[in-house]
Amino acid sequence: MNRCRLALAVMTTVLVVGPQARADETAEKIRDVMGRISPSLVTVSYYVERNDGSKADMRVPGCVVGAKNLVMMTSLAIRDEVPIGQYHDFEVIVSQGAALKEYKAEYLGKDDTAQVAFLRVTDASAAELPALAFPEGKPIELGEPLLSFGSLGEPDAYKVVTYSVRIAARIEKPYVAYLVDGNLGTPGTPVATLDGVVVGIVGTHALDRGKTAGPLQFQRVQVVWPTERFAALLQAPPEGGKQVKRAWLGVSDLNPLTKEMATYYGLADRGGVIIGRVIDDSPAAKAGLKATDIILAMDGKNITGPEGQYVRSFQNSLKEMKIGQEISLEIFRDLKTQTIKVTLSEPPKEATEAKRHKNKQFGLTVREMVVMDRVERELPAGETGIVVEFVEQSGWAEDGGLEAGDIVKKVQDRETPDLDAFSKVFEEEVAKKPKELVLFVLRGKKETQLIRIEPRWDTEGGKKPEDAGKAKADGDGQKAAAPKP
Amino acid sequence: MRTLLLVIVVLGVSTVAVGCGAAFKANQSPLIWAEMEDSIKRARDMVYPATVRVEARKTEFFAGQRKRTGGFGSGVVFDPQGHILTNYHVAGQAQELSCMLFSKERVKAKLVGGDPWTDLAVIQLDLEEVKQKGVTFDWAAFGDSSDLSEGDMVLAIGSPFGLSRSISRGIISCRERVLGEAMQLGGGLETGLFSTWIQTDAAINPGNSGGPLVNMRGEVIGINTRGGGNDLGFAVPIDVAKDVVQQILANGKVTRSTVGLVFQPLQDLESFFEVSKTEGVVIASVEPDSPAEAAGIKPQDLLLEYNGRKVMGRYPEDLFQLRRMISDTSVGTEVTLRVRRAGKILDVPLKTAELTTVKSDEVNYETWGFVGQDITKRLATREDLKDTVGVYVTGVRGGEPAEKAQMAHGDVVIRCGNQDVTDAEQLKKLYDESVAKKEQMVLLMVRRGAAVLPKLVKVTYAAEAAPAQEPKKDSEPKPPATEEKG
Repeated sequence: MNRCRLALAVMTTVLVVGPQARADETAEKIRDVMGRISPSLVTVSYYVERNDGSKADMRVPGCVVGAKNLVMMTSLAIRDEVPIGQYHDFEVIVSQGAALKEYKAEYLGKDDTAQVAFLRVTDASAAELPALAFPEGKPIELGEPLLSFGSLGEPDAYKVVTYSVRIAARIEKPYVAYLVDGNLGTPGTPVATLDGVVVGIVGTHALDRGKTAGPLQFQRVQVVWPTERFAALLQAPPEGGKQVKRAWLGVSDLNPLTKEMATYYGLADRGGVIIGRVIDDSPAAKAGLKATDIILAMDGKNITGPEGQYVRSFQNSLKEMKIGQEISLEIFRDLKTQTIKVTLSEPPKEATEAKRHKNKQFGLTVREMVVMDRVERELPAGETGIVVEFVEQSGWAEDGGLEAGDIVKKVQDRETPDLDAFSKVFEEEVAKKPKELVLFVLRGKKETQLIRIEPRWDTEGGKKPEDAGKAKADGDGQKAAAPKP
Repeated sequence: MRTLLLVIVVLGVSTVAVGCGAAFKANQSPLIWAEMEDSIKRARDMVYPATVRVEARKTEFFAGQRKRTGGFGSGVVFDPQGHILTNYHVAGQAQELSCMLFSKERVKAKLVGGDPWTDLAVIQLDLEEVKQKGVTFDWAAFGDSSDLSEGDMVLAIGSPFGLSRSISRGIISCRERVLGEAMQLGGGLETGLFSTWIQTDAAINPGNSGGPLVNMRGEVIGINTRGGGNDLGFAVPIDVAKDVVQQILANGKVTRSTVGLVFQPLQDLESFFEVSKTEGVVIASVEPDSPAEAAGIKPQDLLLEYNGRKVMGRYPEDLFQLRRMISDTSVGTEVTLRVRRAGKILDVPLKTAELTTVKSDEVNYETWGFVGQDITKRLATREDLKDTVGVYVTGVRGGEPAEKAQMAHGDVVIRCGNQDVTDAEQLKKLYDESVAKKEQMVLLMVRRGAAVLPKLVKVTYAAEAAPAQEPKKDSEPKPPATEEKG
């Protein structure tokens, strides 16, 4: 289809423009830029151990962007559902002519806001690869032809692919991005002008088609992210496999102050964001913000734009702030405006960063409870316990009735307020090879119950955990879950 | 298929009876069949004339839209005053009732009282009309469901599929069936927490609901309530029904106590608790803001005695009895719970509270386009609501202001304009005022989960709108095109 269109475009060009020379000249330019950029293009390979224990091999295109073989790729390839500890064997594959070289690499971290992730080649044998230059401030004009570069798969020796597009529109909100008239290839790959100046990377954008589109309101499209979005990260890439932290205010369930609501409140044509919920112990809570407060301005800057964009534009302005920075919010409460100062903090630990404890024999993985667990389940701030993240199908834990999402508060009547306590208590109790292991768990928001796990020491105790499923099949095939109260 | 099978069986019996007359003494089976037929007919004749077909009409809200619906079921007259026992889901919410008697005469009836927890209701024939029409009716006797055993032959009588009266025959398949505990009747009403079920293979189909399950002595031993396929029918034991009937006849309703405990069977946990097999029940969970919580009962306590009576909850079946023991206590009674906690025996005094249902009267905020109700204690517990303050939205009408403001079922209205909302009646006053003033914009604050969201309800009043002083008349619903008829 695309090839047809391309052929048609080429034909049209030939017919309209006439001289064969012009077409050749463009092709020549493309080949030239391709030749200059190709040496910096790489493929990142790794495997993911999914939460259910299955493994998936991954190949993601990337490019060298800095000294000491700093490699950048799309952050979309590193999913938050899977803890970073379950991503293994990062390697950078470099295609040099027909020869492929694989170098060991270390994952440095990512920034989902800028949609990029970073790695560094650690293999001592690796030569310094040429880094792409990302000059800032190069204007991108409507209609300008651009090239993006990806690679073919393993069977084709990761050969470089070039896509040729034109800028179709400039998107302003929530970030500046450029819509193009064709296929851009894979996210994270570089985009350059016909003169070979790299102007950005391929990213994805949720295009807002308006409420009338219903469930299709947001359409995910490929765009060109200009270099400005991630330039700062090229100078100071993340470290330690972490997500780049953005300043945190601690409000959620935000809604726009619609024109009608503004009129209702006598706020005339002001824009605003209505706070639906203030998270316990957050900077917002400490500063005294309340649900139903309406934020009208931040640091003197009014919230503007179409009302459908108020929330996103406020959130994006927040992301620009620094951790520890004090901001002043003009809010509307009880029919009066007032100013509240808030010192933004580092965001709380996310579930993916939480420490985990796995016991293969019991077929369960648990992790420490994080602030967002309490927020999502509306648990009081003082609630303690550890969260069951995964129970293996037909494993001992699942047969006992334990479910993912349960919060374990006690093991054999011993409190497990945090992961360290759980690991200690659980392993100590398991070492006794008990006939039963009784857990006290919170399920849902309020209901607690006892879960009794019956280990099958005699049939599966000595075998490798891998065989556990098999032994199960011919054993007590239908063991009912613990009856629910 | 079932009909066909029955026909074959009956044909088989008659063939044997007629054709094998000579071999009668040598083979006992014709005699047994004949005896069985006789006893079926005897039992039938004792209950059949007391069985009625119940027709019910009610007005209720679906998605905020008022609809008239009709339904039918079965019932059994149990006294000379024309009291009829039937299911709550047949008659419990009806505004209009009529019964078709054995004589095929139709007589009006009225609701005496209902109990969703056991899915039972008592209605009464209009004795005036009975007298006027000169019709007669019979009544059946209640038996005893405590001495049933699996294999006992039973008859299910009723009006399946709204057809005229019929009988099906079967045996008791299980005398104490435990079904899932999270069962619901229409409108989210909970049911089935206080009794086990009699399971039978006698055919029970829609329309049989409320009809009697009868033993071979012609006594009612259960009320057919659930069924419909695979030879699985379920009846409420008559012993449970007797208590309910007694309370409804005395007070027009059934009042129950709660202490706010959720139990878990002790089965297999004895060694963990270091107790004998017949001692106590596990307290799995303590409901927030309940008497038990206030008295300091903790999850993982073992309940040993309830007000001096020993408690035994080893199997799931036992929990129903146990819940009934607590719910049967008069509301507000001081009771003592003996619990074991970490090896120590504690006596905890507390006062029982009234067990409510999730439902309360729905109020229609017609012009704003939604229907709401007070938040009962039970609703707050079931839906994890913060407290019982506010109005719980039960339905939002399509295309109306509330829906346009993206209000939804389950929202709790907590503020209207600058006034806090306490309950449905108070919001109705604010609503009436707003409609009288023809306010074009009303800002409601609703709580959804842990968030509070503003909802701007925009109302357009036609220039020649009906006088707002009579909102009731104004809001009388037009019958929707999709009205269901029974």
